[in-house]
Amino acid sequence: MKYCQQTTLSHPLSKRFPQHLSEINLIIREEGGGEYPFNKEVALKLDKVKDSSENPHIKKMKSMDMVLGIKDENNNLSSLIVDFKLDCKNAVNISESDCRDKIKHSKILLFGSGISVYNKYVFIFNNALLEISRRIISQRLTNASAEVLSINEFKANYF
Amino acid sequence: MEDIPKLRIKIKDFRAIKSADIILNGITVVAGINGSGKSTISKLLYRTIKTAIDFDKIVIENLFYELKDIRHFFDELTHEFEFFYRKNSEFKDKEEYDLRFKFQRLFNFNGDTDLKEQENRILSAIDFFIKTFAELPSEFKKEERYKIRFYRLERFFKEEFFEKEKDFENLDISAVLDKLKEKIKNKFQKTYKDIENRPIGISDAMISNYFTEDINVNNYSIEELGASITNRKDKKLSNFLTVNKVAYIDTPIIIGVENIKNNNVPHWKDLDTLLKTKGENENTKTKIRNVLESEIIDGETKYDNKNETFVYNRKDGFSIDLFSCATGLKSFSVLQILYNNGVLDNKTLLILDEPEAHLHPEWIVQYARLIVMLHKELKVNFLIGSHNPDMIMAIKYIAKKELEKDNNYVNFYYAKAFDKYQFDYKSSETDIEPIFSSFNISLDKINEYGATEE
Repeated sequence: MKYCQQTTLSHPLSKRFPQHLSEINLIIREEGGGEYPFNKEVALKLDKVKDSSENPHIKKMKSMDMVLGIKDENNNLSSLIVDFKLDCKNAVNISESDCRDKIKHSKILLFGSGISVYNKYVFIFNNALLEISRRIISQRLTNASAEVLSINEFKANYF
Repeated sequence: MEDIPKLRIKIKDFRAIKSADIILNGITVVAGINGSGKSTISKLLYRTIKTAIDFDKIVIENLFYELKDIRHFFDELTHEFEFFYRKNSEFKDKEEYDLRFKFQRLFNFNGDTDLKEQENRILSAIDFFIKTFAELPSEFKKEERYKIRFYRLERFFKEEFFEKEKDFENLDISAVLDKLKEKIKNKFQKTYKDIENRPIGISDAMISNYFTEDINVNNYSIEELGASITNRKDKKLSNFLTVNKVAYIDTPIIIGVENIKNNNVPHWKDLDTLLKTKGENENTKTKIRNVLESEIIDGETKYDNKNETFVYNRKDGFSIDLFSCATGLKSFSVLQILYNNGVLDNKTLLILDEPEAHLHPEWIVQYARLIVMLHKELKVNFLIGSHNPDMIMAIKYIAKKELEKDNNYVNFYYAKAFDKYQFDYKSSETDIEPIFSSFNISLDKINEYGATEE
């Protein structure tokens, strides 16, 4: 599965909240990252979409940081949800319920758009904590297809 | 000078180890896949330190081992003398001719007796034989039976001890006794000299024996506070100043096994001895004692001197032989017994080989907690070989919280493959990322089968 700009832009939520579309490099900067390897690719800031909602129940929900469109070689489309943990200083503090809620609530937010949510959920960590985070996320999110990647691995895998 | 490590072991081209330079300054963790040489590091360090600590004892035991053939000669001689005395009414009731008792009392290894004193006793035993032989009635010596019986002894022991001597055929029992006396004196002299000079060859032999193979002992060295302990230049094994007790614990299964002294694994026997040792100050009413008793073991494990067995006394009054208990409980019992007996202190080095084996994940974290607590409270030193993510992670984070900030008391090392069969050991200081990079291969393997959707 690889990034698809058209799917990202044509997603119903992107059309409804175009002000929350942003270049991925800028999102990384906002999340405290120090590497900006992308070109002009954009993603929808899902947390901002949630915050913009007038529904108080949705406002209270947690969500992944961004969503982007992806497609496979057969043009099957999906939405990839991604959360940045670039400010994480101690991998042990990663909360299982927080991660599970983010995945669950993001899926609720994206429900009904006609594009399914991809069954791998990406968490992006700094290189310094990557391996230990991979292990901890794997232990805490058993049964959930969480994928822990560095910024560069994310780019290599999905772009 | 503060940065000079307490202990340092360097290894090159030794079994699976291509290179290693490991510093021990508190809690040292060595991680690597199976067969990467973690146990080799542990065993080399253990055997060298144990040999250095027990050097005098080893040399003296070796002396008495070498004397065993001579002792055997005297046992036989005693037997022959007694045979003739019993035939002679003049001697048979005299107490002074209870040779066997007298000889055994004098020619006997006793670890608690001064070596010089033991030499004097043995030499006096030989003087006694020389005198006894001189006093043997001359009519006995003319008897055919005497000639046959003593010829056997003379012949055997001349060949055993004096084969190279030109005129050994002309020696008689009296001359054999004189020469044996000289031989014993020389052996004692050599022992005194070995104790003084501490030749490293003795340590090398111990290590070759331990690994049961010919190994290149020149390929490893140990330093203490910057000074060489395995000093190849002066051919000397110095004593350690910072360690006076060492245990290598590779399995708790052996706790309580009967006749542990008769098995061929030296570190099991050593651990058994240490578990039965009482330190100078028993530790009471401390945090560690409470954690072990109340949070983990739910009771106390100890060695029962009277019944010569290890027991587990549970808090509800239930009592059972520790040998029959769960292996995980035995893992903690080793720490509890050593701790309660006051054996652990800042001069103790505990070498733990995969301590997580047999433990539930929760107990793995508790075990890591105890390691950190023992170092924090008593400054016990640890070398831990592990390939368990929970153990590594728990040591890292518990130590980070419990020990001083910016400390250098926890060091991690990982085995990096040099080729298929050899490994370079790299320091990652307090960083465990490189270790987890290896651990996470298992996650990739699982992922090959596809993750399950929630």
